[in-house]
Amino acid sequence: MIDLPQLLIKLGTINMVLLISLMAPAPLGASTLGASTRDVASNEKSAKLKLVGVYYFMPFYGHLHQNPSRYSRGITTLGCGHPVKVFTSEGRSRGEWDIVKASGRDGFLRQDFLSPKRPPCFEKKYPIFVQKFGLGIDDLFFWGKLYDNYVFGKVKLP
Amino acid sequence: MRSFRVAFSLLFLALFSGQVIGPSSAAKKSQPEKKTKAEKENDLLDFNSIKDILKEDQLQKQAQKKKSKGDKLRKKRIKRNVTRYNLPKEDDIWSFLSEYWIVKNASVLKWEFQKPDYGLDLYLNGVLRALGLYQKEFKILLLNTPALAHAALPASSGEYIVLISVPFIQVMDLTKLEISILVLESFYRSDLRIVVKKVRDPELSKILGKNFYGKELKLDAFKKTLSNYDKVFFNKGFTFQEQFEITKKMKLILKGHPKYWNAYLSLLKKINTLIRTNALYSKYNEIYPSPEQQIRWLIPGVPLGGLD
Repeated sequence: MIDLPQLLIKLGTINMVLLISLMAPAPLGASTLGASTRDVASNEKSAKLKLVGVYYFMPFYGHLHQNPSRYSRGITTLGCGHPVKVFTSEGRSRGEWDIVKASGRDGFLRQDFLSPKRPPCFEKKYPIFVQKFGLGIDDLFFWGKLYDNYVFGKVKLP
Repeated sequence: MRSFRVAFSLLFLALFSGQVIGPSSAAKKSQPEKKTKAEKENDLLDFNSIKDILKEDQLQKQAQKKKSKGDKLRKKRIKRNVTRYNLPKEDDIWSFLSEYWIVKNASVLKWEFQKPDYGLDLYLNGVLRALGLYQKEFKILLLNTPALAHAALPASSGEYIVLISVPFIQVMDLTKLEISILVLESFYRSDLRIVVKKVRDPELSKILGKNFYGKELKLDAFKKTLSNYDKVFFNKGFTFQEQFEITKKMKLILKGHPKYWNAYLSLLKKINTLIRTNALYSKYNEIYPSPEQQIRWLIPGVPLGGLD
């Protein structure tokens, strides 16, 4: 049996633990889908990174990747229009994959998913409709995966 | 205690992760009737309470001006808020619905798997250029199941969403050219809006592009449309008339290009053989009737059994 003073002490301890755990987590804006705050850009270790600029994510949903591969682990999920900082290794031009920082996380995004201007986004155009459609967190995850799995192509005028 | 801590951490993350996960941020922003900054600044003075003083100081005109500015700002805010309740237009909805269907059917369609880079995008690009087909934007999704051989999903204008089964490609040992021709056929299926006409619920046309501010949004038409996707691609399929329309279109385009014409014929022959010999694809004929008939439409007079 726990008497009242003991219970209060226990609750106090829980509060302290909660306070510490709340102060510890990932930066604001980081998705619950992300699993780690590991600095991915450090994969490029010795190479110095140069800021190219702020770009905007274009697909409906997509994953910020741990490595420059569509099959690499997703760090977090980004929605259309999300701003990201794009970096390049010094002395190199941008490749198929960009080194980016988004929501305080470092990772990789396909260059063709990024636009220097704010893209027209379906969910920004029809926010209440998308909200009413009730997309769950698993839907967003798979939607991001879908864009990793698509084979994209475009035939422009010669 | 640990689970309690984790639960609170998750709650914290959920509260502050709105920036990353769209709809939740959309939900927050959509809370109506918040005054804009400009409106608040404009509202700092209550002109009614100092009406007499203003009259004396002949500042009434200025006050009137400020009031009308405030009214304009308020109207602008209300208008902006109302537009948030717009329903997608016909041109915007199809890519969203098709992708939603793909996402919801991820386990059936089995599109999430590691596949080699077939270089299909580059090859198809070359074929389309050779045929003089420009300004085409496509998304191809490879499926790791024979459940759906291929499908052209409705998409917004200027865009194509095509699904192709890798087992289907592999079992017939299709060349890149034959795959490209199959994708091309899917493009025309989209252009002719055959799938859109089949899946669209009649009620959907009535509500698309409308505004539902102050009304209840019923999603029934969208749900029925999505369930029609299942019916079309897994059960009912296409009619002979629809197949004839597509074959006629392909004939018209490919006739001047013997290489592609032969690839189309070869593709149809391979499919025709497959559905006769492989039980996994015996239902193909019900969805896409029928490769044998398509060959006859291409080359009239080909005798029965003389296709191989």
